[in-house]
Amino acid sequence: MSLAVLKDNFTPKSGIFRLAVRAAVALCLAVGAAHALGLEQGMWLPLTVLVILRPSLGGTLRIGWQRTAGTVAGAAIGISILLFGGNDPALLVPCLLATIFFAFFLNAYTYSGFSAAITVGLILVMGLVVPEGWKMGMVRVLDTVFGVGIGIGASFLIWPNMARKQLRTNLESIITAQAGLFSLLGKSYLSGKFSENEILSARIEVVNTLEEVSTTFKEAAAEPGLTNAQRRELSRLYKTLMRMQRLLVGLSTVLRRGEQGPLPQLEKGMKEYLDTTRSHFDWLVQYTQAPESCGKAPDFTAPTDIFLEFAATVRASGELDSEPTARRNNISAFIWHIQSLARELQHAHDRIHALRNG
Amino acid sequence: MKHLIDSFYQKYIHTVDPGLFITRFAFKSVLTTVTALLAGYLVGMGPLLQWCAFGALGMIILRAGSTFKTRKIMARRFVLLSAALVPISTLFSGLPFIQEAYIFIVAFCAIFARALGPDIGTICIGVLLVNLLTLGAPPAGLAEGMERAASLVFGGAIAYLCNFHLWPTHPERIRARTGALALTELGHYLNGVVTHMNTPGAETTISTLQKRAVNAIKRYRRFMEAMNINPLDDLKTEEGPTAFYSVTIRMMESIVGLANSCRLKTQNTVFAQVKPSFEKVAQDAVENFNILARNAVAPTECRTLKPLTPAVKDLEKQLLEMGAYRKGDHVQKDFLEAWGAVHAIGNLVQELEEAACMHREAIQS
Repeated sequence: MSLAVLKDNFTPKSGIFRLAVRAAVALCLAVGAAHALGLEQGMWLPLTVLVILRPSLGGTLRIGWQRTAGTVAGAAIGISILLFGGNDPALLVPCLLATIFFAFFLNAYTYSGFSAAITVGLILVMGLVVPEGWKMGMVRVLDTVFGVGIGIGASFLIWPNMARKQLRTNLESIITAQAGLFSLLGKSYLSGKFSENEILSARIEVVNTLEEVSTTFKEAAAEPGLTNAQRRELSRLYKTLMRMQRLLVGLSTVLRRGEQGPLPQLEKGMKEYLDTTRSHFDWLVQYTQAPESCGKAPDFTAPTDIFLEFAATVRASGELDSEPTARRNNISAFIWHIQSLARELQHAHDRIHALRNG
Repeated sequence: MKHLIDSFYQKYIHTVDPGLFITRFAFKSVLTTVTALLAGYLVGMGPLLQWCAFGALGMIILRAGSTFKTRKIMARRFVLLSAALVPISTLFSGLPFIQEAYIFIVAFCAIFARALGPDIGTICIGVLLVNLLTLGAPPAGLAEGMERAASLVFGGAIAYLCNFHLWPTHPERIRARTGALALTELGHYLNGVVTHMNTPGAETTISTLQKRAVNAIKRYRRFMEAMNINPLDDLKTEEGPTAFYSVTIRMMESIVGLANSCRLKTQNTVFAQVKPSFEKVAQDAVENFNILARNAVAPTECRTLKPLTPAVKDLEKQLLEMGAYRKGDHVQKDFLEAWGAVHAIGNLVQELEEAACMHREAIQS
């Protein structure tokens, strides 16, 4: 099994293979450069390369920037402690312990903070060991900048992987996942059986995909190639996707309360309503892939108007009067959620369109 | 004094590190590293002390594995694999071209290993890191390489002992704490949604609160999974951690539902007429949530919730009497929105009552 996975990935077409080659070449260069230039603490060079290299160029640029900023800030703090506090172990040891604590703590929140804490720690260790340990702060900054340069260079030159090229695939995955959840909710409602486990699993998948999308969007925004307007659209599109996710969560509460399923008088209309909305999700998935083959955008809000008209006919015949208020309220909430979802689908379409056309 | 500490915690610490999970981890990591270094110093490691630190740090930082059992296995693999390669990298250190070729091979393998899964990927990155540190160290022979490897194993073993045996994680205790935290975060989220109901531009605050609540529930699920409990296996169960997880999920859903409606209803002219009653029910729901949270924390107590279903029924009646159908199509969508909001608050009230009922049954049984 494991061998088969490795074999499948052992091809230049595989993303992991490309990353491995890119990292191996960059580390090789960094080790060689540190050795050839006789750099003091030369190992910081390959360590920086290893830490900043990410599968996409945008990711490498983001982490590279954070590492540089953190190292510079940490070096400033460390050098200041040594210059103003001296090399007294009574001061340095507690500071060092505090720094290690902050390194572990900040690692969970911010890479810049982690980098800064590690740099302060290293400078303090140097301060304890050698008389002019503060000079190591400068060396660390130089080595880091050099390492970041090698890492970014390798990301640009060896099979450059632009996060923005993943946008299409990412969008397809998230809208497909949301469409899947919507279908599942619709089916549960129509069948009158609400499967908590299935729905929760589908929702966890949507949330995880949304997290991946968020990372790709951030990395794509860090890369060159997008205009500022496109970067803004990315951020808006993400917010729209978040709102869609929240509406799907809200919809599940409505459907759970409507456990008896739709009213027989409304069932046919509701089925059509759900099917058409689902087809709009599918249209949007296709639009993310090949907009030119999709034709004109559908009227996302039309199914609500059609269903409302249908519901008005049923109501006018007095068939709903005997139903309890709670059940009628449930139907209204159902319509409201799908109507809002349709509005967000329209927004998503507008954002994707703006993103494509700059 | 307790009040002072509580408000300090809420204001400055809870927002940064809810439940102090990261602080505890950082504190434990510092103690573990210091213990490993002290032990190394006491056995007279001298210049090899840094290898002892590398072993200990690697063991702490590289947390691979989703269950406690696999975490131990992965930690052992990391130390053994690193120790096996340290003598080789020591031997190649400082040799031009050979060290570059060696690092090329190790780096390729370590990163390519990620194809086998994130756990293997994480420990392989750790092994690569140790190899880079060895190549950066002063060149030495095979004998010193073996000594370095032994020191690394020593540091790793001390950290392993501290981490998994001397100061082990108590899954039950952590699960209870993460559960309580999930409830607290849900309370903050609900409170935020109700407080900011009519505040334009409060979306960012509510989003932040929602994100924190989601993370707290996710953390609770992760701890359950680490204890080999699959929370998705049987969400209908009525007792134990899965039942609690199910309650948090449903509570979360109902608060999200309420937040969706509150965000849109500020401009709604129809809703404006039922707004005061709606806000009253929402405030009462927050109080009920707090009672429920207190009941959950002190499982033997069972404070009764304020009955809110009649108030929701009144809200429904009020809206019904406004006669949406008689007012024409132009207000139809406003009515839909208002019904959506009433449904959301009704659902929240019902969820709270169902959770209280579940709690009562659990106490009685």
